[in-house]
Amino acid sequence: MLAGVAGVLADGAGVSPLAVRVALVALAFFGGSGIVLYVAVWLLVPPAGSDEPVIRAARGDRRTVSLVTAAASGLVAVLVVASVLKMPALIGDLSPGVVALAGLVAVWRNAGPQDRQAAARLAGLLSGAGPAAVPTRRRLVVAAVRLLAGAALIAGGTSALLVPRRLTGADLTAAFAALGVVAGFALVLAPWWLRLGRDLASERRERARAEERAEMAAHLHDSVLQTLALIQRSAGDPQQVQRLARAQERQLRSWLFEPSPGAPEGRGPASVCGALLALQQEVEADHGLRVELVTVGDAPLDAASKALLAAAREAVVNAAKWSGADVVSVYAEVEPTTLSVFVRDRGRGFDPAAVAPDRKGISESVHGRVHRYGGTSSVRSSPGQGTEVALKVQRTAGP
Amino acid sequence: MSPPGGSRPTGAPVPPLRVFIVDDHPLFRAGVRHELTAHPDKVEIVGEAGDVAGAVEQICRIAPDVVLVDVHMPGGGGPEVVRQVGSAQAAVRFLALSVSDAADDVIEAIRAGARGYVTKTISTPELLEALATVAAGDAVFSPRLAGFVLDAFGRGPAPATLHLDPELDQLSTREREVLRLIARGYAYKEVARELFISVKTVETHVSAVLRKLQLSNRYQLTRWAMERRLVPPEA
Repeated sequence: MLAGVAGVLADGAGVSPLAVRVALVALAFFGGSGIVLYVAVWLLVPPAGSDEPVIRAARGDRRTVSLVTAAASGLVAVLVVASVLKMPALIGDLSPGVVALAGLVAVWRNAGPQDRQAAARLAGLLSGAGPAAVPTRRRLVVAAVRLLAGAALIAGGTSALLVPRRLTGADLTAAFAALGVVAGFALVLAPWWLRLGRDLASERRERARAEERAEMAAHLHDSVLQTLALIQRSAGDPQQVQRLARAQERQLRSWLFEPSPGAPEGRGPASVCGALLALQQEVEADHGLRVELVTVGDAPLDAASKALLAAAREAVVNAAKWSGADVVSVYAEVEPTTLSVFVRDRGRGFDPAAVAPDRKGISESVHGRVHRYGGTSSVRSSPGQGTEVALKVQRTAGP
Repeated sequence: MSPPGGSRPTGAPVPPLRVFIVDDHPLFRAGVRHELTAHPDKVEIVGEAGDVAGAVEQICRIAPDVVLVDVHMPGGGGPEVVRQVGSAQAAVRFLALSVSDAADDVIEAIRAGARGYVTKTISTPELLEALATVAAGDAVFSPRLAGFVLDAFGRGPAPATLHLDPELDQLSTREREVLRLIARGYAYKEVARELFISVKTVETHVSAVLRKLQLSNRYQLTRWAMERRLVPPEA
């Protein structure tokens, strides 16, 4: 649970993590070997998603090494004081704990993101919100006060220890003394703890930022850089360049401005507007002309709207193929009971009367589709004047 | 509202339009300048600025015919320039320029006093035409802006709780017809032919709609912008 050790072991052995956990807990009760095993595995086996064991990462971190050195020298000082004061119990109880703590710190700092989060939470609990940016003069004063108070407490506690059993019961005196010593050390060492907590937090922030940057770089590489490369390669073909630039612009826009999925209401692919946006993008990508889309109102798709949009797509593709225009205007208006779409180009146009009735393109794929749903369709065109296809159906759904 | 120069014939011996460019991208200013200086008979660039304060100061001093103003700029953006100059120099006309084509940006510029907007992908001839239209006191309505207005002013009757000024908060049938044709991609000329009216009449209708767009407090106008705020700006 804690460091994902059970999971790693289970992966290696091919058994369920739960079984490993139960075994470890059982071992922990029989002489504590379970805990030792747990820590050893955590230190030596690389965590999931990394190929470096935690302990090797810790050794390579110079900041940690200096931190540990500082802490160790502090510890030595404490031990010297304790031995002078003839307090073997303190040495015996404290030193292993402190050494273990230092080791843990070194390891935490290099642990994986999951371990690190747990550590940061712990550090936050212990230190409270450390003042991140105190003005330097105030910080100096605070440091001086802290040092004085700490020294006084240590001195008081020690003297209480040195003058035993005079005022009240021995237990009470010892308790006071111990309390004083602990408080003193806490005051002296507080900056280290705070810094540790802050280090953890800031490292976590940096990591998140780096990940964000990496994601953006990956996206830009996949899209923008690729497109720029393509554009350079096809510099001699203005139409291709334009098409690439336009497609890329749309893609980048939607990536930059599209909120996380689900936010824009009624604009999903299941709505008239969503379907038209998809149509616009596809035709632009496939045929290299600009589709100017204007929509008024929106509604969920029903069968009739789907048929009408299929007919509209056919009309747009026809314009792309035959009109010679580089822009097609698509206008869609959703009214309470009807949906109308107009597809217009300023291309070469044609004479509708001259088109043989068996030409499948318009009669079936445009008119037929709409008429099956009781809709109306008309084509207005004349040579040199462009073409406009008007489509209209009754909708079944609400507004 | 519209001086008689509304549909002035191109190439006639009229003095070129004095145009000022406001955009925070030097590269883009250079590009527009380059394109427009190729038509010295129609347009003369009288200055440019890259920030709001500089723009306001220079525009008030130079008093150009038309200001081409970018909607997105640091320090309040194009709308701020339009507002500040508008209170001092009422004769200066503004054409908003937008990359995003997002309705709320565009509408902010229009409500600040711009007489239309074009996107940065516009071709030079279209830009020249739009500048002339704005200089003549008319409105430049793109299909998208027309679609926005139709959407914002709704189709059915407005909610009864709302006190609507029919002069400001509703579109006439004719205005609706004109907008619908513009949304379908018709140029003013084509709209006129389709509805059997003169281009001048089309321009009058469009200017009336622009005025409503600028002055109406119609609830839908705000709501529309709010709703679309999260939607990616689509060209």
